[in-house]
Amino acid sequence: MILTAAETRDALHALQRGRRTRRLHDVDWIEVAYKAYIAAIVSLGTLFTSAAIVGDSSLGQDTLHQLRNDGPTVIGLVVAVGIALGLRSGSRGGPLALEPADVNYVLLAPADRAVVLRASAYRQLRGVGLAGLVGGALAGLLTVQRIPAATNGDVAWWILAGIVTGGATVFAVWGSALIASGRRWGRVIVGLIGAVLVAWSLVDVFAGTITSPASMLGAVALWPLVVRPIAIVGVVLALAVPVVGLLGIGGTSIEAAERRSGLVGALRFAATIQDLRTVIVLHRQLAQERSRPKAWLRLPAGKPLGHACWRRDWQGILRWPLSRVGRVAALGAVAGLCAYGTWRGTTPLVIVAGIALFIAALDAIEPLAQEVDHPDRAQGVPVERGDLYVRHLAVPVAVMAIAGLIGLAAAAVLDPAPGLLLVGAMTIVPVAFAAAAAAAFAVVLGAPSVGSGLTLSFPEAATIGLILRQVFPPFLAALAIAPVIAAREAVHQHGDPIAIAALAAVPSLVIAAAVVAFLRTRKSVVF
Amino acid sequence: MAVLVADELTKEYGDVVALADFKLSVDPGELIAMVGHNGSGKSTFLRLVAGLLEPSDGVLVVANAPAGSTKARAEVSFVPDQPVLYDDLSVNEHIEFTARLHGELEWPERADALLDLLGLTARADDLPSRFSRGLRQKTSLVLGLVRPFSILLVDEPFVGLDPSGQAALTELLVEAASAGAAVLVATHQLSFLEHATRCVALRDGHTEFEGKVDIGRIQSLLG
Repeated sequence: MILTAAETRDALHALQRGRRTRRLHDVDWIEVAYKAYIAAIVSLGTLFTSAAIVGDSSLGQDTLHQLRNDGPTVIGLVVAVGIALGLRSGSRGGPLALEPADVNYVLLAPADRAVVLRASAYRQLRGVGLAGLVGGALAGLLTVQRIPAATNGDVAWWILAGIVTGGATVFAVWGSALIASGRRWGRVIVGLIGAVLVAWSLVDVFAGTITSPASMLGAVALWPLVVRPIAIVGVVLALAVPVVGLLGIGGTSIEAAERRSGLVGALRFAATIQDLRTVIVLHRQLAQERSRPKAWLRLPAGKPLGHACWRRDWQGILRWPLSRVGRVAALGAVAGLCAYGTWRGTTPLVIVAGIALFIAALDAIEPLAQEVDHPDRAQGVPVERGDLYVRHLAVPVAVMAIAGLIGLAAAAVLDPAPGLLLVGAMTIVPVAFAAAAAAAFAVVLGAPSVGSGLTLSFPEAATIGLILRQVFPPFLAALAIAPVIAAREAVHQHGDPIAIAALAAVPSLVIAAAVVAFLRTRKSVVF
Repeated sequence: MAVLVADELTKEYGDVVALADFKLSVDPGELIAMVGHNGSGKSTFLRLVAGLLEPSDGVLVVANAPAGSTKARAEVSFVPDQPVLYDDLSVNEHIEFTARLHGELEWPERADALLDLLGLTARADDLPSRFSRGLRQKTSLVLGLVRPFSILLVDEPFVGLDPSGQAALTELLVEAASAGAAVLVATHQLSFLEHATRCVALRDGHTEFEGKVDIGRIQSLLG
């Protein structure tokens, strides 16, 4: 018997009702209250930190003029990158993440899959839509702090513009993933479409025009500053994207849905328990990112003894898939561009640079991470575990130095001044050591285990401890950019930028050395 | 008339060929045992028939419809090797939901009989998420058998079952075939072969043997 759409909806509603009733019956209200309390603290913390970073001094006339002219296209570029990433997710079966049992029972039932998947899509859209609206409102609220009251400092207008931009952007990103998934577009097609969208936005950025749909959405964000009617076209197009996606949702591959269902569930669990390494491994599985059967280059035969870790690590790195090579190179370039932005005066970009370097380093320390994944393997080696970890750090430092060089090259494209390049070259050394040490620290430390000092302490202390544990590694990577800030300040005060930059590299190198010393203390016992 | 036809069926995962040019025709009432080492392609074939995987090449027709189509899904019941169950539904709620999804009206009687045979009656209102592996496997089997089907696919069903559970399951599979369903069972348990009407042995995605059950020959093929 084949179910009609109405019968399918009835069966799904009955399931939802039953599950909701059980959830309400089993709910622990104290735990709910505690979660709400933590969420409130984190939300307020995010709001105040963002406000502190953005600041509240009014923008000067030059900056305001620049924001008015270039703002829409730069925001549009960010939107275009988001849509490209959404398309990429869609080519892997995203954005829906069904429960494994839903795949096995509901999608294998003789019912219209479009009806089933649409029900799941509406639930997900509610969540992501709300996140977009709240995020947009927050961005609008922060932006208006910097806008001179004489220009248009009406808070309500800025919040409204933020809400429309945030909501429309999230709808466009989510919808493009849905279209790619329902139409079963492959990686090549989504790569091409994404590249065209980003390139179109780049043309707008450099030409100062608003022709791409993404730039039109960017114009909505600055509507209170400049009214551009073409922005409405951007919003209409953005809202049309999820509609098209929902219409074609029935074509979603069940094979991709099944693969994704198991992995996304595990990924969420790993993220919940802050198990960074598992998140990385599962993300690679989700992206079907595997080592190449053949290495890009074969290492020449070395001496029969010694340098085991050095050779083994290069052998692993030389089998990286193209996507991982591209990711590390792109993250290196992003870090370089952010460092350049810092040099030009936008100090908060150092945080973005630190996060980019930390993520790149998580790829670079893969050989070490595999030792952490399989502690029993190191148990059979006549080398203390800590020593083994440290030996595995040499190649990641070299890889991060290469990523740093890519970042320097990216910055040099924008400004090839010799003085700047010298400061950049000096920064590569702390960047390579600090980023590799930070990633190694995060992976070796692993997820907080039940019964550890952190989880046994009282809730507030445990929460702060857990946040610090997550914040320290990217902070260390960001600290490595300090020579750029120091050199900038030295130039302003007519000092010697090179000497100051060298001095500013010391703290990150000292902390990196302390991390290495910590890694050496790891004994051959799983902790 | 064959209820399941596979012709030149191929499934590739990237550069790995899981099933190559596989051919099989199954009539109603047949009980087919699929044997082979790990990675030989048994589960891949069952998942292709269930519609969970899509063929890379070849033809796969289920009840005169392409595998995975709505019409095919109405005819095929698949019991996976790892029980896949909701965390927040009891056994009875699982059964009710499955029956609803298949428009089955007379499920309570059938469910009672299955629960009784597999020793789950006393646990019918419990959450399977708190069950042992064996009890979860039994729950999964009940869900596969409670709905109407003309093709039953069972992947490694004996893993984790106690001897009485294994005997009850064998009885149910034989009974399903006797009632006219085509039953395909992927298993490493060679003792089950004596109940099968036909056997298919796979190695590295290729058919090594296909025909009447000859346990001695199968054992030698599987080493």
